[in-house]
Amino acid sequence: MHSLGGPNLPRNFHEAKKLVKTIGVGYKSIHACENDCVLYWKEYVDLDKCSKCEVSRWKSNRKSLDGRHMYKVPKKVLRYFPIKKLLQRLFLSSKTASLTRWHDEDCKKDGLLRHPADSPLWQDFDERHLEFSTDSQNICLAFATDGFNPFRMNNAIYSVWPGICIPLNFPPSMCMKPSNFILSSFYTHSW
Amino acid sequence: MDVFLQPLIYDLLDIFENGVRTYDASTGEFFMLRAAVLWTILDFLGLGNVSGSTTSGEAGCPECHQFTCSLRLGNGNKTIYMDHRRFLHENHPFRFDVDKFGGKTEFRPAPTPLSG
Repeated sequence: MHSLGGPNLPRNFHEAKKLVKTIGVGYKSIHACENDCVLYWKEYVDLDKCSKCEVSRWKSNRKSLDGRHMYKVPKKVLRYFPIKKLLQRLFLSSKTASLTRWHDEDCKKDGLLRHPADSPLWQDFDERHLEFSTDSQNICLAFATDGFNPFRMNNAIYSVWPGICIPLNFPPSMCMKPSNFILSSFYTHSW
Repeated sequence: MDVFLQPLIYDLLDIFENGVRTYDASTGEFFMLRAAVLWTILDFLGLGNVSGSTTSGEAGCPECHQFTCSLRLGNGNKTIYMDHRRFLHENHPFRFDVDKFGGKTEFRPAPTPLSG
């Protein structure tokens, strides 16, 4: 957004949302059971109750005045950022696209540990999956997650858990920088 | 908690096996992009959430699983984990030391972690 400058900023919220959608950083909301049993997706999309613990999917059963419409507010929502689009976005800029090959081409291979690509695990993985490692543009990810309390609510009964994917192909100056992390999912966990 | 990772795992499996057709701006060509998760970076609480194994109570150690040596303190209302002499090598003098370790010898081997 910063590179767009003042006059090029979207005029209203609707335009901003449209812009975000074209870049491919939008998310899907997937409803979840209150007790973390199932996600309401695929074959469970239309369910109103959890198939395991029989808890309702919705917060209230309030109906509109004429009784035709029901206000359906989900109890728990998982925000899922489709990872395919986010990975494709790495290749949209020629700079980052060429840097995804860094771990294979420009990384010094003298046995010293500087980067995850020097680790025995990475080399072992490359040997086992030759079809994967022959194309050095293929991305190796690390997955991290940790809970935190939003808005410094220390007495909150839930915590928010972001699931973050970190592409490890890049040089050390870019590899573990927060700006290069990929947020892949976002959910709440109640104690 | 691991339920919430279903969409991510579903997509990652698809990317690893089939790949996604991606435009590469540096070469100007389309190619099949694939991705793999090599590491997970978690604290102990997150490990319990992501892997689905228990991280508290009687079998609180994911490495020792059912062979975890736990002891409930009646007055403290806490579970503690002892018997670390299992992890020493077979002929370590501590294994035979009765006086300093509560009047017991220890001849059990270290538990083997679960695979897969």
